[in-house]
Amino acid sequence: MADFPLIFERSRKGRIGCMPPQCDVPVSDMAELIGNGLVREPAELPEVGELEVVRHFTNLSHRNYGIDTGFYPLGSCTMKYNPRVNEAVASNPSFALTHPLQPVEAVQGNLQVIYDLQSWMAEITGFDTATMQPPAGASGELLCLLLIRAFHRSRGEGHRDIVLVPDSAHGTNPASAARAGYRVQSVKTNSRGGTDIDDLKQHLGPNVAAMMLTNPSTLGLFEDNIIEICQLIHNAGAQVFCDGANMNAMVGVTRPGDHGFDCMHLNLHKTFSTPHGGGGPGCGCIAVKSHLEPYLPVPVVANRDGQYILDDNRPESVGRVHSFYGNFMMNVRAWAYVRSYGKEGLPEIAKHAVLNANYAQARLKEEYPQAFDRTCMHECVLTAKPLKRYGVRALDVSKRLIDYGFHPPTNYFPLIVPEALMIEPTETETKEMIDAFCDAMLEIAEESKEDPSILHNAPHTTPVGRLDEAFAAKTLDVNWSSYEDLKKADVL
Amino acid sequence: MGYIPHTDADRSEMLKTIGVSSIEELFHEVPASLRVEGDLNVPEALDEYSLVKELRAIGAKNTALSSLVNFLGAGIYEHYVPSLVMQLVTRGEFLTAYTPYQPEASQGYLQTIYEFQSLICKITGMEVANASMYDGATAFAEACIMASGVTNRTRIVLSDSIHPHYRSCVETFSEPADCTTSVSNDPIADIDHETACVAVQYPDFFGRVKDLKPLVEAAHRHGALVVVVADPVALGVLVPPGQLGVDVVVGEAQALGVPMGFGGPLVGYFCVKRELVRAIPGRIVGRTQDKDGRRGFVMTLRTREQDIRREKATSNICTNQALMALVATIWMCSLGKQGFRKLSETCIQKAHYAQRELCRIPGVKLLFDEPFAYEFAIDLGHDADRVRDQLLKQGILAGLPLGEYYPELKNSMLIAVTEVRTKHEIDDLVAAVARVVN
Repeated sequence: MADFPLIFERSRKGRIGCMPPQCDVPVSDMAELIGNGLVREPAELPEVGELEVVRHFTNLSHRNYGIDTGFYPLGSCTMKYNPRVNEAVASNPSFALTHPLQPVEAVQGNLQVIYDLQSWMAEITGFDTATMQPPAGASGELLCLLLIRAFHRSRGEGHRDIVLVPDSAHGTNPASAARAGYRVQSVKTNSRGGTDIDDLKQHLGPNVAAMMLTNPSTLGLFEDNIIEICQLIHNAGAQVFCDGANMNAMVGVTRPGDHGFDCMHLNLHKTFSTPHGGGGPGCGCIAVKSHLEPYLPVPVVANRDGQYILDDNRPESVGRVHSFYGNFMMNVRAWAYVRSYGKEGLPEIAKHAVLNANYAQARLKEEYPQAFDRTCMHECVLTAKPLKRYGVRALDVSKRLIDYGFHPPTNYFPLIVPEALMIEPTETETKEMIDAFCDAMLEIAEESKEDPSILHNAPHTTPVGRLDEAFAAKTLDVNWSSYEDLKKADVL
Repeated sequence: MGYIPHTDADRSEMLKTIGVSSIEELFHEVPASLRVEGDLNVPEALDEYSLVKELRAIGAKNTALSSLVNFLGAGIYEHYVPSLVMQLVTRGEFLTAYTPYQPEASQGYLQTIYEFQSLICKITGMEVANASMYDGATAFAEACIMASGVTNRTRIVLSDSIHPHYRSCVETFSEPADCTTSVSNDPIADIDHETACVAVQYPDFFGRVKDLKPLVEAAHRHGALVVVVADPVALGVLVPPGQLGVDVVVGEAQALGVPMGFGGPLVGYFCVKRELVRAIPGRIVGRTQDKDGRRGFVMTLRTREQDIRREKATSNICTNQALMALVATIWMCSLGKQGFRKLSETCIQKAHYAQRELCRIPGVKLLFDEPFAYEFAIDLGHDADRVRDQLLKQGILAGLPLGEYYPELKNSMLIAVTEVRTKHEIDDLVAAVARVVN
């Protein structure tokens, strides 16, 4: 089968696509207008017709797997149904066609959406206030650390330069800590999959600024010593950040603010169902206790005598963290989502997410043992280690799942679990779907024993087989022009 | 309830398989003192019909640009978007996918990212672009921090005619990286041997176009990198920074088909010379092949990234703005070589027409007598906030009063004219300004 063409390969000189509105004003010579020597040759964009564009991208979409295609149990990513009403309300021009620098009187509706969500997110998480600004989870993490840094400095404790991160943490945690100017130290996980308190005590000291803790942990386990952990850290003069990637396990049931955390981030694109879009846009809003509130980024959406305002006059603020106010249109979607469940329905999200994960774990644990033998929360971390004796690895299981029509779970994370398979079904999946997935996983375990080569060569049903990542890194063809050059130079 | 499909029979069968008698039991590890008692202080649920109605009512509190004639830009622009763009982007296979960690099941998205990178390179004249950043301001901050890492220097020189919000973001994020920023109205003169990078905007915040060559020469003479924040629509006509020796080009690609959406989601882009590819933040997609030699695409140079390199990663960025990059990709392909050039030229022609007509009004003059692209600052001789408010009453959003950012320019307004404004609308603007200032 021939390779699927690139849009550049469909281009024909002189073919015209969509045309912009007419130029109906008297025209001048371009070089005169913008200066001699500053006018370029037209950029070599492809020359294709409208129908070709529609077919190109429609056919590319057929080569892609989304939640709408099927089950997507990618652990830690909360791939739940993205309700279409959220898309409908967000396409309303009243929101979509507003400019961020319009006078505030003209955008009271937008500011209300932000203000409502700030209040609801603070309430749902048990904190005092929130900002919707960070455009993704990692930026929310970084912002929390910047607030913590400002807080310590305001108290004359700017020397605190260490951030503690569990060995099971998402890579964004240490990366964000480094970005905030901190040194990172790793805290061990104990034999139950929780934070090793003795190891934590070893690390705590006068130079520790904060600990970043995911609860439930990336092992899908609730940190049942959380009250003691937060107390220990506070007693050492440090702050505790909650990575809220796993909030889907807790909505309406328990609140990180009550656990003792000082701040947290949330992923609207996880817990609050805004679409992941192939890798964004997300929203990594943060919620904080009142002692961190003075440092929030500007502008802060506030309500003054019934009018919503954008407050820029905040002398202790860490400054701006986005061109404007973050991924606002994601807020509209999340607003719709919170109101679709309401206070009475929100706890059902966590309850059914936890039910589905435990059900999958119960059905699979014979063949794929749990990393830790405990009740899991919204996701279960299993291991494909028993299949190693047949020469089969977690990656092979994952690739074979694609043939069965499922998106694979997260694999090889957390790093401390060998051959990890992290399965997060989410609450929006039916029992039948989880059963079908578990049946496939069990069948694959059988295949491993009988004919592991089926797995080694998987996937068999996709437009391309396993791809050579080393070749990509070596040739570094990351742009069509270089592709042409590399081909001419006979490298490809 | 909401989007949960479970029946009572499902729940009891599932609980039986797990070996517990209630969902409550599954939460036994959450200490009782930490359980939420009663309802959260959040409003009650709305059915879909009522929800749509409620949000329509909230939206109606905005004055959207659908009911105004808009000349406001300053980083976010109103442009023509072919109907096919949003219809393709909202296909569920794109909308509801995540980062293509499993390339065999994600060839569609991976190819669009490779196409995005290629298209952005065509427009900027650069060799390498990444898969996208959050927005122009944070892309810019990342660029400055990267320059500091690459040069092992900490001084960042920023032109004072870079968007004030962008400069503010650089300050927020570069300070913890031990960088210092120097804001200068003559950046060339401010470059020294401690300078990691010098940054300008092209066209600048005021819409002005300046030749980048002298800046590039001065910076490279001192071993500093040049970072340019460039507007992609203006690059339809302007000589691209990549042809002028610029090291890093970043910016906001919202203008390429993304709705204004009150300033988000946006889509930052990030380009470098090939020699800097290993230092860049974010995802990058490369071409490769499977064992049968079939062409395919994968995320590459992954060892720069946070999930592998952790605290030594080039950045903490993970989720970016993939869907908005797809919007831009489809938009660029729809317009193509001729449509994109035409669009860029039309913006510039219409803006110059508007400027000429406005400056015929006695007391109104161009703030800077320098070439510009499709945005320009004029001195109205009157308080610009007041003029803006007066014009709003007539259904015209005239532009951005500059006093908030530059107190000495309180009589000046920044006006953007794109291809979507008609001659008639421009004439109305001119007539309305004439009435207000006289």
